[in-house]
Amino acid sequence: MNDMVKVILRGPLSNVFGKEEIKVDADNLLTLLYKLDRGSVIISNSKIRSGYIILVNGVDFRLLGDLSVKDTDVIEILPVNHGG
Amino acid sequence: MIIYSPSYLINDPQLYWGSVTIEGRNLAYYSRQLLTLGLEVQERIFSLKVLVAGCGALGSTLVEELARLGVGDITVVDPDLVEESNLHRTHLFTERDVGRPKAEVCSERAREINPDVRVTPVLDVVDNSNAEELIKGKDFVFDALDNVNSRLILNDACVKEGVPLIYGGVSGEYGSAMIVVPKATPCLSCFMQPSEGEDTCETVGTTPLTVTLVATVQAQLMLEALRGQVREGLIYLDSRRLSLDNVKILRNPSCEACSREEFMYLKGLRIRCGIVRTDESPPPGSPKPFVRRGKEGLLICYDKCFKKVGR
Repeated sequence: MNDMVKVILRGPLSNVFGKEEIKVDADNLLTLLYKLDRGSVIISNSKIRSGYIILVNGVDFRLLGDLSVKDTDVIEILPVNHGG
Repeated sequence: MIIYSPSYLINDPQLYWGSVTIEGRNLAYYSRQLLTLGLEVQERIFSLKVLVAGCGALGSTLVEELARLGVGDITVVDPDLVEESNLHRTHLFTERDVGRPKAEVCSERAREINPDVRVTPVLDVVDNSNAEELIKGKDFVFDALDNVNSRLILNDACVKEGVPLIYGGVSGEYGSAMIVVPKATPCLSCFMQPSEGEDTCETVGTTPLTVTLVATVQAQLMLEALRGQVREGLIYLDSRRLSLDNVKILRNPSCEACSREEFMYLKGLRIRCGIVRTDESPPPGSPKPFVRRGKEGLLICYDKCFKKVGR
């Protein structure tokens, strides 16, 4: 069994997933996203869609060399707003 | 030149400021604001030259707020026309404005609200052919655009020229805002990627309340910067929960704009939604704007023509 990692869903994502906070059983960020996103909202064709900010403990995941996650980590997913 | 009035008037702000002018401005208009911001900040506001990119819901609200604050010189750029579906979320547009250029209506209303303010409408899109020219000599650029690709072009131009950019975006009852101070804070390209597909052209709803909140946060970020405080990161606003959070965003060491200084979006980035430039010309002698609805969307022509696509 992997760690249960806390995921905070911001903005409209909390409506899409029906919760503002979800615990996901995963030891890696990409595994976590696959398990979370069964409706292909965030991931499409094995790629994270543009338009989302994914923070691991407040740091953009693209700035991290290591994408492993543990139960003390907090993942935040924010859709970037582009309407004007 | 500052002209001071007799000191006995100072106890009555209305009388006092009503008899003081700065560069020809009657300070009575600003008397309550001066009590809050002080003369030093107000003088800085008077001297500002800003660009508001986009004059939709966010842009028109920003133009109103900046005019009321007393910003000296506002340029507002947008080639779009007022539509009935815009009216619910815009303060400056009314039914009689439907069919008129948004930037012209915004400018007229802003001058009515505060005749001290110089407001210049530019009936054009923001793309890689004009972004650098539009921001030249500006103290702040407000991003009130409606698609990520235009934002990234504007971001490249601002980072390259060292002009502070204040981004705002809305979606439903959510919004975000961020100030970019080139080379000092993260920029939009640190965390936004261009849109490759057409799927982001869908119509996104919102409310006038969320729009006003986001535009107000953008204007407040300008005031913060004038006071010497620069907030790093993204402000995420949820008007449904009435929450406003600061989200930590770090500078990306491989960012094409603020780290690598490649400014690749200024070399060309296709804008897939909203209004784009087209090679078509208006028929000779046609009125301005000349408008024609076709299969591919709406053609809007002044001296130049634009095509409204994807919405």
